[in-house]
Amino acid sequence: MNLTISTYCTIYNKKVFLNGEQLHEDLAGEEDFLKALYKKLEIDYSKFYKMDGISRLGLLGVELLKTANHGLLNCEDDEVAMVFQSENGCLESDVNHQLEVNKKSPSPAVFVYTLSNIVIGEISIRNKWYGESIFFIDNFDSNKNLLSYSKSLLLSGKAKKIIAAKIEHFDENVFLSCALIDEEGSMPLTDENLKKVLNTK
Amino acid sequence: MVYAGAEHIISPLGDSAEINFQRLLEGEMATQKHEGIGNKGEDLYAAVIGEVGAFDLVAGIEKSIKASLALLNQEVLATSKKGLLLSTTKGEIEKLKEDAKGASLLNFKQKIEERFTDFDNCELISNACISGVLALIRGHDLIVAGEYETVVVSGADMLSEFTLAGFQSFFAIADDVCRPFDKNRTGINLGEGVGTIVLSSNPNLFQQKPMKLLGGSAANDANHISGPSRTGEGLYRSIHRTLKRAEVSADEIDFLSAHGTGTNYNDEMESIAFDRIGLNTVPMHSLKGALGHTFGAAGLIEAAICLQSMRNNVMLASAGFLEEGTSCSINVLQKNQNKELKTVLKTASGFGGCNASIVFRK
Repeated sequence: MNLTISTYCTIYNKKVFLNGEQLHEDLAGEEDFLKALYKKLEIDYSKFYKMDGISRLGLLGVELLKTANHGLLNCEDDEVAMVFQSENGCLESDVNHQLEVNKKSPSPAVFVYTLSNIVIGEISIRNKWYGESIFFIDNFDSNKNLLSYSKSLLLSGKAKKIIAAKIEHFDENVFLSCALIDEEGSMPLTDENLKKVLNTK
Repeated sequence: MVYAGAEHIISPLGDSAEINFQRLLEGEMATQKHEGIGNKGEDLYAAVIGEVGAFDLVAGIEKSIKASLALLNQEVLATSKKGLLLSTTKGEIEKLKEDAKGASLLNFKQKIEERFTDFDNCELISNACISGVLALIRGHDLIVAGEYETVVVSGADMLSEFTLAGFQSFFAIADDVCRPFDKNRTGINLGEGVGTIVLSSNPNLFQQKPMKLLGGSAANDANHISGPSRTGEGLYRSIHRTLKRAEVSADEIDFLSAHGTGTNYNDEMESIAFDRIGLNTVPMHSLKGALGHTFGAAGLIEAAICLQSMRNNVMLASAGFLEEGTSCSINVLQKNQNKELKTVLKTASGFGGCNASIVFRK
């Protein structure tokens, strides 16, 4: 099996890069950057507004991958797996829920986002994907889990395409890098290439 | 082949898989009424170790892992390449009251890692209520891929005001002891605890004869982040793939350890998925009535009880179940029953639409 990184995307510091190329530079001045990017991408999906930050960020990352890789639009509904990693996970929603608990008025609309894998659920719903998925907590610098589980899912035939992502949405730390791993690309799946694609800030 | 054994449980019923199995066999309940633990001072049923918010999760995991390791042949363990896999939903969430970073899961993972420096790697999976079953799948796949000979999988969660208040806001907490799959079920009881299982390609690692873990699979409902699918799609697909990959047919399943939270929609969803796959007549239980819902620990605690059931050829009753109450007929155990258990299926479902299943064989 010839595994490759076929498409990749980074969103950070109000900048968007798709396959290494910067896009939507005009949005850099927007206060609510993710909302502005959502509008710019002309996605008609009102659930976006109900989501917490990490879910919005992950959803937009996958939308960007889809614009560059039509293979993602045409695959079977259980062929795409999502392997996500974060240092802070849903900590932002945790803090918001705790504030409401302290005030004795917890809200289900906030509480439901206090699980790190909800972002994967939101992407699954949006795309009608029924495949494998997992959410790891690990150091930003490490790609060990992402690489080994992506390979294992592909080599064992549990998935045909993997979206491997690093995602953070806590305080000032807003960062997403994601890579589509399959057999269709030209960049070989190696430690070095994955590092280049996922760890560059 | 991946072998599973050296199981260990910490729950309000006691500290070992044998003690927990024995107490459950005797019909003991960890779920008890606790005064004033609700967000507005309500009395709630829950399975608590000591006081709410006081369970030391790091010490609990350390104790459980060490107890599991003590059930292994030490000379085999010493030469085995080994990884550590942790599962939790919220880790030390009580620390959030003091400062956000103190409650971060990365912090929690590092604390455990520092206590087990002789492992080659440590991973933490945080994937809602399927975290424990998913960690067992990941552990199985790591061994099959040849990355490790042995993987120790440990899951833990604590009962906190954070989760209690959250589920209260959902009106998902039961009025009394929770009754999975029962006609009069009203919601969940929260619980806390730790479960640990050792996986290895080397059967000689285990002092007691291990069972086999034939693998598993996860699938998403792609339906709703907090509402279970009305067709049980994700759970159906997960079980379908797990059985197919393990080359096991539905009629070979001797016993099913379901997720069974006690909420109306979850249990209904599970019954539909089990019906679709042809598991209606397979004896099954949920342990949530007796042990509460322990989130990231649940999959491991319940799988550890599966291993105990297989060793003893006894299926435990589903505490709280009195009367059939799902639209698809299923075989929920009202009494403990003896049966030769060769093949056992364990399932889990969680928020975010996630579902997972694994199959054990004797």
